[in-house]
Amino acid sequence: MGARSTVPFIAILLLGAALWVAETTLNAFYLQVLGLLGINIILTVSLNLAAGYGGMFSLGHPAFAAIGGYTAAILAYPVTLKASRIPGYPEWLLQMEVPFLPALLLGGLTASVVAVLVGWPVLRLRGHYLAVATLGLTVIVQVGIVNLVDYTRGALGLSGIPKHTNLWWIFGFALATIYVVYRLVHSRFGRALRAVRDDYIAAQMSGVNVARTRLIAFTVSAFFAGAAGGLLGHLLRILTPGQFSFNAVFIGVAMMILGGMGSITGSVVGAVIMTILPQFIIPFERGGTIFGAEFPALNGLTQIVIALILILVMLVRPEGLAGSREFSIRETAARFRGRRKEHGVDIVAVKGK
Amino acid sequence: MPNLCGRIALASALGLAVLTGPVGAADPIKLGAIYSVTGGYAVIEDPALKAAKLAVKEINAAGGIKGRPIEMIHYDGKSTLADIANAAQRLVHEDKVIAIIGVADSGFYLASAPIAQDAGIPYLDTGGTVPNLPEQVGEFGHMMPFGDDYQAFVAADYALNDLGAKTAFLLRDADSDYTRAIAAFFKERFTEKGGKLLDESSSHLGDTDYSAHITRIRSLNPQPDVIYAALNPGDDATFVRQAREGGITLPIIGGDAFDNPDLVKNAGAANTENVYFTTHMALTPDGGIVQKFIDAYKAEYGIPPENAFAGLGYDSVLLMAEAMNKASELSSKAINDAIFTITDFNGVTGKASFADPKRAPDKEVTLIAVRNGKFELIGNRKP
Repeated sequence: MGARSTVPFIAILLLGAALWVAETTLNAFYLQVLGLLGINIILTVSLNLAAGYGGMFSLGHPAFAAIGGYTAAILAYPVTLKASRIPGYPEWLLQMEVPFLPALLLGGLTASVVAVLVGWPVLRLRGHYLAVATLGLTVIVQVGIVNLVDYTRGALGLSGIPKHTNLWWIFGFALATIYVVYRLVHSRFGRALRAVRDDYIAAQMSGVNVARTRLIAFTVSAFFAGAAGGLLGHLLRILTPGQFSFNAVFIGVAMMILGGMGSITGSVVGAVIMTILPQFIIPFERGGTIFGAEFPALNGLTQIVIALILILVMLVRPEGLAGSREFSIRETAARFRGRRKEHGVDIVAVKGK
Repeated sequence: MPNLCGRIALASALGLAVLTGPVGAADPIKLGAIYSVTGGYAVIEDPALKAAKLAVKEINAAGGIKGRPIEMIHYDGKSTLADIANAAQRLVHEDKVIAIIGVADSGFYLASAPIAQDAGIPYLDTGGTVPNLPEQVGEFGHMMPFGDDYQAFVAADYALNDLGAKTAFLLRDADSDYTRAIAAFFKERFTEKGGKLLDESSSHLGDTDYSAHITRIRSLNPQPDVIYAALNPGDDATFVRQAREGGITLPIIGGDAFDNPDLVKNAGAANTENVYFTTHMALTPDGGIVQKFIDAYKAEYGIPPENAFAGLGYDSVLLMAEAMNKASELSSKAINDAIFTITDFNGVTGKASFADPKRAPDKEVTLIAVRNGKFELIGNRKP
C-alpha cells in the first residue's frame, strides 16, 4: 500500500469524471467518436497481447471481433425482430432476449472458443506462416457471414441492433482489458510469454510449456476482441461482414505498430491517433471557404495523412511511438526533476501492489 | 516588422469573411450528403456526388428555393461503415443540416439512417435497392431508386409477354444480397404468371469459369426460352461471352448490374446480341430531360455520366428540392411530410410516386436491349 496504489485510484476517478462530463455535455457525434476510440483501444490492446507480447502476429483478430459481435448482437436482438430477420435459429433462441452484459461476455467467450479451436493447430506456426493462416480465418469468417443469410442477414448486415452501449460500458471494458492484459504480462505467465516470443527454444529449455502459454494468451486476446465486436455492434446498431475485412486487419495492425508492439500505452496512443486525428482532417477534405478563400475538395486527405504518419514513425521510431515502454507517473516525475532513472520494461506506476 | 505581412493577410481575410459571409442575400439551406469518393464504392458513389453537385448548382443558378440557395455539405463515406455513421452524426449534430441524401448501398444506408431518424431529419437513400428500407428505418427514411422487386418483376413480365417465353433457366450469384434478391423476385413473378422454371444454379462472385452452368443449360431438353442471369458487374460479361461461345443463343436477361460499359467491351458486341437488362435510366439521348442532364454533366465534368447512379444522385437533389418547395416551411419535419405528397415526380431516372412511407417509390423501370454493342431503350415500365 501507499502512494503507488493511490495513483491508479486517482486515475480511475479522473476517467470517471471525464466520462461523466462527456456523457452529459457532448453531442452524439463526439460520443460516437469517443466510443469508437474506446473500442479501438480494446482491439489494439488485445491484439498487442497476442502479437506484441506473445509474438503471435495475428491477422485474425477482426474475425474474433466479428464472432463476438454477431454472437452478442444475436443474443441481445429484440425478440420482435428475430423471427423475421434471422429466422435460421431454433425456436428457443428466437424467443430469447439476453441482457446486454451476459450477451457481451458470451460473445467474448464464443470468440475464445473459436480461438482455442483455431489456435490448437495454427499456433504451431510462427512468423509469416501464422500471419497468413490467421488471415485465412478472417476470410473464412467473412465469407461465412455473407453466406449464412438466415443466421446473419448476409452481406446486407444485421441492422436494428439496440443501442445498449455508451461510454461507461466501452471505457469500463477498455479499463478491464488494460488491467487484465497488464496483470497478465507482468506476471510469471507474462515473462514466460515474452520468453517464448524472444527465443522459442531457450524458453522451452527453461521449462516453459510453449504451446500452452501461447494458446492461453491467444484465447484471452480473442475474448477481448470479441467483446469489442459486441460493443461495436451495439454502438453503431449494425454489423456487416464488410466491417471485418482486410481493411479492419490493416487498421488494427497499424494502430498497434504506430503505438509500439509490446506496450499498452502504445496501443492507447495508436488508437487515439488513428481514431481522433482523422476527425480533425475530415473538415478539410470537403473543401469550401475559410476566411473568404476558396479551397478545393481534398478527398482522400485523411488516408494520405495517416499513411504519411505511419511512414514517418517507421523511419524515425521503427519500434513505434512508445516502443515497448509504458507510461509511468513516477518516471515522468523523475524525468521532470532531472533525475532520470534507468528504465526497464517492468517499471510502471499502475501497479497493484 | 516581420509580422506585418501576416497581419495584413489576416486582416484582409477577416474583412473578406465579413463581406462574403452574412451579407450574401439569404441564409443557405443546408443539405447533407454522404457519398464514398474513396474505397470500393467510389466507382458508383462518386458519379452520384458529381451529379448531385451539378443539380445544386443548377437550382442555385435558377434562384434557389424560396429565395434561399442550397448549400450541400458533403462528407466522404470512405466505403467504411464507421466513417459513414460518423458522417451522419456530424451532419446531424455538428452541421445541423435540414435533410440528408446519400449512399448507394443498403447496408451503408442502414448504418447511417437511424441517426437521422432519431433526430427527425429526412434522409434519402440514393442507390440502396432493398425494397423496404424506409420501413426498416422509420418515417424519416426514403428511397430514390426502385426496389429490387420492381426490376425483377419487369424483367419477368418482359420475358413472358414480349419475348413470349414459357420456360426459363435461373443463374444467380449466391454471394451477394442483391443478386439473391432479384433472382428470388424473378422466380416469384415468372412462376406466378404461368411461366415454368426448368432449372437453376448458383455461381460465386468473381467466378471466371461458367462451363458447368453452360453444360447444365445445354443438357436441358427441351431448352428453356430465356435465361435470367442475376450476376454482379464484371461477372455478367464473363458469363455472356462463355455462354455464346458455348453455343447458347437464348435471350439473356440481367439486372441493373449489366448497366456498365464493360459488358460489351469484355463480352464482345456480337456476343451481346439478344441480351436485355433492367436499369434505373437510359443513358442514351432521348431529346428530353435525360439529354439535358447528360449535356450539362458533360459540360461540367468533360465526360458523360459514368453510370445510372449519376442520374440517381441528380434526382436525389431534385426530389429534395421539390419537397422543400412544397413544404409549408423549411423545417425537417415539413420537408419530410412533403416528400409523401410527391406522386408525380419526373426525374432523369423516370417518373415516380413517393406516397408509400414504407417502401421504395412506385417508379418506372428502364428496359434496355443490347444491339450492335449499343444500349438501346426498349421503354420505361412498371410491374
